[in-house]
Amino acid sequence: MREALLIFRKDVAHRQGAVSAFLLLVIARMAIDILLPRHSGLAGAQMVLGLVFVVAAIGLMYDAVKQETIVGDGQYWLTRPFPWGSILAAKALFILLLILLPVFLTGTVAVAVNGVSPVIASPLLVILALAGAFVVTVASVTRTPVQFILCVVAYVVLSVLSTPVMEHLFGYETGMWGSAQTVRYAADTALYLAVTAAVIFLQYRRRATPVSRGVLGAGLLVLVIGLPGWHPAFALLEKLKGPGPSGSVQIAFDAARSPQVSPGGWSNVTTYDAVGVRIPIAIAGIPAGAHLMMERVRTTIDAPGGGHWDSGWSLVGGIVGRTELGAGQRLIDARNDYWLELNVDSSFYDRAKLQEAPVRVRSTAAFATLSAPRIDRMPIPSTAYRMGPGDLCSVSIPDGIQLVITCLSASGGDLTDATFALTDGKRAEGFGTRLGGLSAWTVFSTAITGLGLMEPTPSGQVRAFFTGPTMVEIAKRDTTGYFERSLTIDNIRLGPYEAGRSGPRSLVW
Amino acid sequence: MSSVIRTEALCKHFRHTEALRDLALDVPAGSIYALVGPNGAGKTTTIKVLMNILRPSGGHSEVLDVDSRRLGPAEFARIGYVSENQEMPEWMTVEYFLRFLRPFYPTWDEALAGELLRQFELPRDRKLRQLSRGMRMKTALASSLAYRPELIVLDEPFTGLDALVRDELIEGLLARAENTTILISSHDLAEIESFASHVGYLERGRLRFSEELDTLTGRFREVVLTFDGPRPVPPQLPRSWVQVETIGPVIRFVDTEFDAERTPATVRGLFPDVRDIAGNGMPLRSIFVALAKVGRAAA
Repeated sequence: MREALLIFRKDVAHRQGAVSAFLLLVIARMAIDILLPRHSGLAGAQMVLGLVFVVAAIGLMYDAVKQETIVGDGQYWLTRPFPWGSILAAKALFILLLILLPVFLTGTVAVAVNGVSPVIASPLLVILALAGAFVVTVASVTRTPVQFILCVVAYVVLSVLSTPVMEHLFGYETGMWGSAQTVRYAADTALYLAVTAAVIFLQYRRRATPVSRGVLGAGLLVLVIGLPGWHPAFALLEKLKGPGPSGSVQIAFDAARSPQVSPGGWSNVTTYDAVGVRIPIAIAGIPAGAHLMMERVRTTIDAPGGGHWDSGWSLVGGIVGRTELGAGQRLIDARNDYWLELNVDSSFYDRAKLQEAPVRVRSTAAFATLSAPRIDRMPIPSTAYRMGPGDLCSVSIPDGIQLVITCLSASGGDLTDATFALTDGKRAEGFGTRLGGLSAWTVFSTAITGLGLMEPTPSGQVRAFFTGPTMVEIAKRDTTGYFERSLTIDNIRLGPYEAGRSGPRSLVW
Repeated sequence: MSSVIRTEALCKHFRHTEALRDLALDVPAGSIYALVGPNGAGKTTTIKVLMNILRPSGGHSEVLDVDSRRLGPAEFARIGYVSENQEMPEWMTVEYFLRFLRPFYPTWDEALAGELLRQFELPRDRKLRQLSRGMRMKTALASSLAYRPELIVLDEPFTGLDALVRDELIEGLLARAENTTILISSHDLAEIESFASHVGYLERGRLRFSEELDTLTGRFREVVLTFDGPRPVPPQLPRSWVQVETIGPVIRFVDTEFDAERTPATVRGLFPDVRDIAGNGMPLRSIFVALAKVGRAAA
């Protein structure tokens, strides 16, 4: 530890100017974060400062690592009694004390001043530490700043491109795991930590640069491609949380409902040439006040003559209801009629003559059970509103065509759903996704238009506005369990249930 | 005499390039061992492997009785290493550099450090990046002598330095070399000859010989044979005779295994008409050049 402190002290002495400038930047950023809810004009400055801050933080971390650079064989310290653990500890100390901690503390102060529990900022420290580990890892295996920048840029570009590419190669929904995303994040984080720890150890302990680069490249590639296995992840959630109050939920083929009644137009969102089929189903036994969230559905079709089609666990299609509000259509309650939507590979569909031949359809749907809502009310317009202890919501209309309500929550629970009910009796539904302590709901333009909240501006643009005091109700629902239900339909002809047919999709970027 | 550095069948490859091959080196304790050889012979690679900067591809090497692959802080506190191409913390001043290093060495002698700074006339408050090449080498040497290391390893320390600086470095080194083993690689053979006790000749990754300097200079002789008239050279000559050349009535060659009794007898056996035989001592530089030429011819 003594040696680590000596190296740390040396690094601080060398970069005291840069460290001071960075700390001033962090303080300026905190000031803007504090003022932003009341001075929305600072948003631009916040964005610019945010970019500068990111570059400065990465640069400072990189520079700290490069004081005792690993790659190469000419460094003076290689033949000096510098323990590798002390060098690493000195770098960790530098990054923690002079970069991460100031950022975390100023972030905590900023949210606390705005009335939010400082607990909300705790994930920030974890995220910063993970980002710091990435910078240290890449800096330790690269020789020059150009190599470092190219490596980081390549990783970012591949990450961005990976979603459409992987969706094209492996299916539409590779990047959307719903509730199981938590398991995936945990697995990704574990892999990420394992890779960075292995590379840092290999580099600092053995200076095995070629091996370290190989490990880092392979690890990042796996992270970019994404881990397979949605269903095992969901099964783990099922095991951990249990089914909740879902014992009476039943799914049945609703043969009495006319196949001609369809919940709107079908549009192919698969990456293959598909035939859309919608089979009416009934869902019963949902506890009063609760909702189900359809996670994914797997359907198999067995045709006469041995033909077999398997959709795999798919987010696309599945069980759909009447609502078309984005992902809100995956919300299921006792009030609606539902369809089992299949996107059958058209070559199989035609080859097996599914239009006429009776087939056996077997579907298994995975659900999350959402509790009865806890209602909070929020006045509009408002820039910030405290919903509960440690919670803060803000409303913005960033581009004039959608209403975004962003909530920070420190009160726990899964904020998976929100319903916006205006005091004039009109309603709109939004769908929230949770990331750390941040949940964001978006009410799309159709909802706003339906509520009569839009008008054209003289310039021809459309903007949303609220006339007079309006109250929005936000219904927060907690996930109370996960479960699966199966449905088997024997001897059904799919022809009458065809909803559409389309050609192959091209890759959408 | 025990060995401070030992290698057995040491090999180092860089992809398809063989830098070291079956190197068997033995540096006795208390010796000043000069590792010489032409450019690309593998001197720097040998030293980097010994210092655990590079990992060997095969074989074994020990430094201060420790496997070189396991050299760590405890051993480096007893080793002083100076290299011509070392990357130094350029932003530090000379004084800060020494002050920063001091706590890492239990045997650091502050008085000696001050004495070295004075002897080398190093400006304490000047940054390393502002120093001349000679000053940098002196700073590196001072920082490696101040803790009285048991082993000093110098990789081409004199390259690019003027004669005065070289003398100062050598003086500074030798003045504090008591009870210290020195391994030095250099092209500056004239300088090395003045203080080395042992010499090893490395060529294309192989150690051609390794012995005491006195023995080496004793067995290498330039032999001049004088005849009454021009004399053809017979095709079969002893293998230890290299660089054979004829100039009129004179045949000249380098005998790498000269013996005051055996060599004249061999000459008279091959040249019964020889009028005069003279065996001249050779400076290390001439030995090195002769060996280098023989090596290139063989290649």
